[in-house]
Amino acid sequence: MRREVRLATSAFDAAAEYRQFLSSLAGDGAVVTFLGTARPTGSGGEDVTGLFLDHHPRMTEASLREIAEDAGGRFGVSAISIVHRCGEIAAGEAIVFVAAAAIHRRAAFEAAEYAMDRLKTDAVFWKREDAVDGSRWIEPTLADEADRARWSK
Amino acid sequence: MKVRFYGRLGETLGEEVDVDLPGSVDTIVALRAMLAGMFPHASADLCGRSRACIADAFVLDDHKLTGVGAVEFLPPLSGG
Repeated sequence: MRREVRLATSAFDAAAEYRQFLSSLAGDGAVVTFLGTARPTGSGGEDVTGLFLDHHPRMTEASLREIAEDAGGRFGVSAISIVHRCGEIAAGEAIVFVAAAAIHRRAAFEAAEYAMDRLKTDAVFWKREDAVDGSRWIEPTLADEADRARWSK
Repeated sequence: MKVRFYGRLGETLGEEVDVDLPGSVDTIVALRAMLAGMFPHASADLCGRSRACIADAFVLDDHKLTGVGAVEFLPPLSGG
């Protein structure tokens, strides 16, 4: 399995990441991608000016590698890529890009979904939402925990 | 000993503080209590909602601090 993980300290081009991922494949019949972007509004409908993603100098990349390895190994994909931003992120910018390729679609879908569910709860980041009326640190929701837990069944 | 904080803790307390440990503070749980006394406004996060790490590995509250140069406290994670 080919595994690529990158911690991006500045804005990245998701289309370029997709093209690069595609160019590395050989004979796969299914490619699934997910792109998470910074929303312009918070959970309460307030205007969000941006996000700040704090990270650990070593543990963050290690957690991304572990998640990619687990996703790829669990579903038998031939390639997986995770690109995750850190630092200041403006509304509308990409936060996370996940791509998975496999011979058949099911493995690629499941690997991408599994990776995203793990990233929400297990990736070593701390997310602060900056709104016009102040900032707040985001923690995993009950829904995030439930999404993560269903892969343990 | 150096104590490092991330996320909300880092913003509230600063990314790194140097502390002198009295002899009675020889475990993670004792360090948590000492820090909570120093920073009462962050005591909930320090005592219950953060995980402790030594040398990039999570450790339990009964972990001994003998010979440890740095401890990190990680609040709940939120990536993706």
